[in-house]
Amino acid sequence: MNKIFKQFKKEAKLDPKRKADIRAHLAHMVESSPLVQGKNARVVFGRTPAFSFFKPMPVFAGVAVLVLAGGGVSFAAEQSLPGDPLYSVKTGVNERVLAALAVSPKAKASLEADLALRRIDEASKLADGGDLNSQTETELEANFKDHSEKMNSQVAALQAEGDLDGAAEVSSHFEASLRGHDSLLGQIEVDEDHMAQIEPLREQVSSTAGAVAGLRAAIELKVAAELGGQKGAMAQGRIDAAEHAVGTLKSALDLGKGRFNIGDAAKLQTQLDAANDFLNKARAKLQINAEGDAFSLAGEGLRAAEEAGIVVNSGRRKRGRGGESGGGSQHAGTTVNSTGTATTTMTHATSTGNGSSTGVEGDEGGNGGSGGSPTSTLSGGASGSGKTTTSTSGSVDIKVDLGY
Amino acid sequence: MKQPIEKKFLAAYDAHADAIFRHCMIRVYSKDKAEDLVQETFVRVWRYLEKGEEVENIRAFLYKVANNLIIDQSRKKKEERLEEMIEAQRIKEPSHPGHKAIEAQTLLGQVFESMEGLPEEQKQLLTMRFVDDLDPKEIAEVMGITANNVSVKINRAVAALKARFEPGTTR
Repeated sequence: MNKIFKQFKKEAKLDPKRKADIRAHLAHMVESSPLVQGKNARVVFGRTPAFSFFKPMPVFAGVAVLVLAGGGVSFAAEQSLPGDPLYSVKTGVNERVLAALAVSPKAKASLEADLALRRIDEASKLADGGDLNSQTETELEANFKDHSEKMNSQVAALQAEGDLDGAAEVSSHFEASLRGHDSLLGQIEVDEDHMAQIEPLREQVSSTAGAVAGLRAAIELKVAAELGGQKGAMAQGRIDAAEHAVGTLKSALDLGKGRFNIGDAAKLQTQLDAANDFLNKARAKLQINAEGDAFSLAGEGLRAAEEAGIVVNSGRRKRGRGGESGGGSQHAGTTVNSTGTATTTMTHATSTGNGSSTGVEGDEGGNGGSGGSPTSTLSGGASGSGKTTTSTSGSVDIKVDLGY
Repeated sequence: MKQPIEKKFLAAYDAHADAIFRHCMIRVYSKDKAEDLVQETFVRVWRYLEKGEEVENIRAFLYKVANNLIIDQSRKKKEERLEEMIEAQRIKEPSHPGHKAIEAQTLLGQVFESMEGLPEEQKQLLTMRFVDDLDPKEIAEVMGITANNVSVKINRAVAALKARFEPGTTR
């Protein structure tokens, strides 16, 4: 008996890949721990050089790492997911460099929003492959929450320094992106166990979207109440941004024609129509000098286009769900729980105007499960002037607007 | 020079991950669950250290945490039968291939089949003593009982195992 135990002891080992994955996960956890981050100075002081690579470093050192690495490691790391060996580089080096480079409150707020969205994207990809475990989900959710809260703080800082336009822009874009990602999370087709794992994050995303909508609405009220002569220019700026986003969405839809199943295409078209509708109303309000309303309506149009853009951009399709035809109602459910009133209006336009196509979508979904992915990309950027970074999701490129 | 805590922790992972995995594998009869338990064990230990708590014997502490996690698990569904696991691990007698290897594999399966029916505490004791190589003092630390008590319980567990393994043997 003892001999058999010994033999088992000798032979049974963790799968080397899994062992390395767990180690990378632990290393990342350790690196981001307050214990190591500086709370305990004695520990940090005694750190070995090997580990200092992943620790906070001056911006120039960070840039030097990126330059010396020729971008190869950093770029590869950008595409890594929790559990991958390079994931520590992504969050420990790349994202810290980005944080160091973001100087103004607006850039900081935008970056925090982007980092929060990255966590959703990562969870989404892991869940898609059935690789999301509860531990990772919890960590990603916590990290998402952390970045969302930081985004809130930065938006508050923006307001404090009087940049209401910037505060509205960042929060509006974040809100739209969250709603887009919420829809995507709802479209992931996994078994019940995995669905249960993604659900807490989805709820978090949904409630954050609601909270951000509230924040954005409050900023818009402030704009309407407090700003004088600037309002006209701000409203015009928003209209321009919305026109750009609508135009980009339209191009992406035209390019992707034939690649979307009928249900998806109909829904995206409805969102495009809704965005156009808001845009026209905004223009009309501006003509009668109701700048506050124009600003707000243009924002609705912008968000509608951006939200649809997230879905188009992801390349993820609604896969066959048998006779559920749940895609349409699922999407409606996702967006209905928003607290932004005008967004709710848009959702109504989506769900009521799309009644017949929901049925079609169900049929499509049933046999369109393996449909090809669109290769067109759409920048989620509001103004189109921001710099973008690109990461890869499977075979589909996703553009993340960092610049606004 | 004092080693940084994070380095010590990761060194403990390198040193003990396989052993904790084996321990968990025997206890939960599932490779996947055992892997998850390894990760969770080390995460919990780090969280504990993070609070500023001190751990004298990291090895015993790891088993203690793993053990608590295993006990906490409400479901004990056998996702992967041991035989399949052995197959996957390609456990065989390296120096005596052929029928002896098959025999050893079969024996191993039987031992674990027998263990499977034992009370949880006896399984735990046998695993810690014969697979994890913990001495009675360390086992006592993990289980929160005296070393003397551990020795007595191990003797009983071995007798119980023999009784199942060799039906003719009395307890």
